[in-house]
Amino acid sequence: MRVTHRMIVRTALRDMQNNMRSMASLQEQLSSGKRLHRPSDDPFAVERALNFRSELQALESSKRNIDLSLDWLNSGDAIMEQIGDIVIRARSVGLRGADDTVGSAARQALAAETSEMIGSMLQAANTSTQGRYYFSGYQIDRISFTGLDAGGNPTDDPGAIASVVYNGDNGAIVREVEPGVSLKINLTGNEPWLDPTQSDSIWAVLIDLRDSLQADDSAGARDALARMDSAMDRASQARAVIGAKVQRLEQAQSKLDSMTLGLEELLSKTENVDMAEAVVNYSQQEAIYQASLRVNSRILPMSLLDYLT
Amino acid sequence: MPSTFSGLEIALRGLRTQQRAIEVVGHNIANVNTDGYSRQRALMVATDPYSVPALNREESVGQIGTGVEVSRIQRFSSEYVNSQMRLELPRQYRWQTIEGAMKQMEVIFREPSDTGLSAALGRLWQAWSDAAAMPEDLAARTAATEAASNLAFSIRDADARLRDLQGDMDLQITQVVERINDIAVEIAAINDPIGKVQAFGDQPNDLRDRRDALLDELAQLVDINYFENEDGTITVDIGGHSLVMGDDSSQLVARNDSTNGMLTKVVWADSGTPLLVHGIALAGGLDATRGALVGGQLGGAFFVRDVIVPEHIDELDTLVTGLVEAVNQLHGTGYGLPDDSTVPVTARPGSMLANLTLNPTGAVADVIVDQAAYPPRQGIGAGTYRVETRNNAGVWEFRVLDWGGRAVAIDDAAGAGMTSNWQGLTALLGTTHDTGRGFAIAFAAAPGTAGEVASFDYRSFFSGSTANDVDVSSWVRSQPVNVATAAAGDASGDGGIALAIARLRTALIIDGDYSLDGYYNSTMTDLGLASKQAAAMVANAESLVEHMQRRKDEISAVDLDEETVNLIQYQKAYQGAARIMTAMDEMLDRLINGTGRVGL
Repeated sequence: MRVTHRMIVRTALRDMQNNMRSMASLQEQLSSGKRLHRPSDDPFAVERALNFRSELQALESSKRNIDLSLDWLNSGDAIMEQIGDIVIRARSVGLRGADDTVGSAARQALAAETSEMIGSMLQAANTSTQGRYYFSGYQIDRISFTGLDAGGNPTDDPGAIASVVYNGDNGAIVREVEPGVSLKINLTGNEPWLDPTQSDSIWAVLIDLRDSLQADDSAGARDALARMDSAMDRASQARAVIGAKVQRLEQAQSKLDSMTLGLEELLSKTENVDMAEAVVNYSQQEAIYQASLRVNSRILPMSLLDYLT
Repeated sequence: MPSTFSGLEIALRGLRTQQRAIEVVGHNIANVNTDGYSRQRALMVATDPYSVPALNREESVGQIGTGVEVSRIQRFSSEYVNSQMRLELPRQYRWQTIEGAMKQMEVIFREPSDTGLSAALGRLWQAWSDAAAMPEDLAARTAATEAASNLAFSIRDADARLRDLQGDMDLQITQVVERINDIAVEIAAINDPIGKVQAFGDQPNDLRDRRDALLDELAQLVDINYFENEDGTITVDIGGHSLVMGDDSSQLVARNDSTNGMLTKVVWADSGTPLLVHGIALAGGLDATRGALVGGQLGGAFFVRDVIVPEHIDELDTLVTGLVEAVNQLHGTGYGLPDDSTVPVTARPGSMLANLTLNPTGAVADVIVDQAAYPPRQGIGAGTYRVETRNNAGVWEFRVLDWGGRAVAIDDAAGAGMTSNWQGLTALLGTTHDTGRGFAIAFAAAPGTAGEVASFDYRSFFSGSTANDVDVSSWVRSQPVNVATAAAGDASGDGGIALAIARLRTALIIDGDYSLDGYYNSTMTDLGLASKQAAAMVANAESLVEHMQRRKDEISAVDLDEETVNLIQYQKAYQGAARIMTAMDEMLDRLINGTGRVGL
């Protein structure tokens, strides 16, 4: 084979170009820390990385949803705690009022105390967090319960409240807390212990108790007291359910956290450069490049002309 | 018997011949860096010896040599290697053009990143999920329209850039065609002197080099066939139509193709017939199989313009169609926040509901807006639609108006297509009138009063239907309360529809096989694979061309060392010839000036 100077020049140029290209690609990886810069870098890994990213976005959404749902449930829990306290106080009032030895004047005082409790109940049930009423269903911007006087007009005076009306729509607020898993996070006015139209509801019981005390009717007070126990059981049951849901969400939250960690690790494995490997490759490439520069710098200038005089 | 001075003549011939050879060496060295130059060498032969055979020839020892001459200037070049290379060049340049376009497309989609389409799509689902969690919150709604607006912009931007790329390729086609024409003229112009030089028995070496370089360049542009005629000229044709013949050349023109979106087609200037390469007309409408056959920059540009780019635009369109239809269909059944200022006067059905029966006053026709059978499609504008009836001289007529008071074309039950005019109602009672866009209207009972009989809101979230016009509808953009999050009216805490839309993230919307994210992500894999394949094909073709180039260098390239050695050789021969000349001179001097002078 006839070897010409031009072939050597061409080889030198091509190989230096190839070496530069490898160096540039390693430089891009090392200086950015990323292995994938465009789909052709590794088409299947790119698809995996994109899928991991959308999964991560979905997990982020779920986490935000859980945080918001926990806010709801916690405010529900706080309301239920207040209600529980009021009912316990009402029960002790009822117990005293049901005692036949208590005089009529004392019963009037107890009736006044019960009225206050009806007011507190309304206040507690109508607690709004960030403009949202817990029991109103979808009508979250609407106050949940209104006290009505004997004429059926809204009243602010707890002593005049003859009945209570529910303003919400019983809408179940459901949140997706994990992809595909939904949870109801509110309590609505159609719970038997809360529904003002039911005789066992906390409202009816409190109003009946007050009316009996006012009428000096100890038998009526005893009757109201009996119904109060079942309302109290149901209310504390509802609170237990809220607690269970909070726990469930907290579990889901930690599960999501660990899923996020796992996915991030997978994404990083797919997308990020294995530094040790890249650095080793780089040094290898550097050695090759230096060798090619050295050998070319020796071969290229050589010519017979240098040896002729 | 040779003449007394024949020795001088031999020396002279030696001097002249070696000098000529040195001149050729000089030419080689001068052109050592000239592209496409083939080394030359003066071929020396001994001149005819003395004497010629004849009856009256001289009785002496023969034959005697008469020196040397240059028979011809030889050019070192292999037509075989050249033609092999010109078969490979179209492939190399085709794939280089494609690879360049693929790289550009990867930049257009800039995946994987936090700013690409995939991330924008993910943020849309996130925003809907947030809206589902806080449906009463206006900011969450605004965030959903913003996320959708960003996504729509990213899609339109990608679409526009793909179309730009298509336009660039179209321009490149025009430029390549112009260059082909120039080369054809140049080859024809060189053919002419080559023919003349050869006719005189000389070697047009440098002209051939120039012509070879032009042929190489032509082969980079398009697939060519060529052959050399006996007179040294070459005939070049593309797909059977002659481009160069002798000193004549044909011309190509790039014309707008009205059947292919005014993109360029390539036709022969003389006949106007499309340029055929391998039997495939370069006039648009190339498919992947046929387009794969055409080589050169021209073939590559056509392939990118007519196959690769449209494929990606189609994929974007598929994505948009799936997204817009799925979201609008859910959104159209949902309710926004109550906002009394937008409540139509006659009725407030909230939105398009299946079999929505409107009978606001009890005295007019029952209007049934049937969405179950005609789910919302893309392209229908959001807003309030009104159904009106009138009593036209005893004949009841109706029409449908859109939110802007423009008449909506609906089915003409007479079978005459679509019409936006008043149509007779009584005769058509019970007939369903399709708007062709996403809802149908039927009248269940005879009308009682004239005027607006029903109105209903149509609430689409996205407007547009393709990658170049998708956007957030002005209906939701203008009023965040219009974003339908609730499944029922007047329920601000209900995020049912928003949740359903957020769940579209995993719904298998495209062909029932892919989620929107999955579909887009898989198109990125396809893009990556295609780009990788193009790069591999380029590397492959490059290494083949390089191999040919080495073969060419092996045969044709000037080597300075070799030329230097030749130079020394010719220089010494020249010196030798000069010495002969001197020796002859001295001999003759002795003979002429020294003889006959005995004793003087």
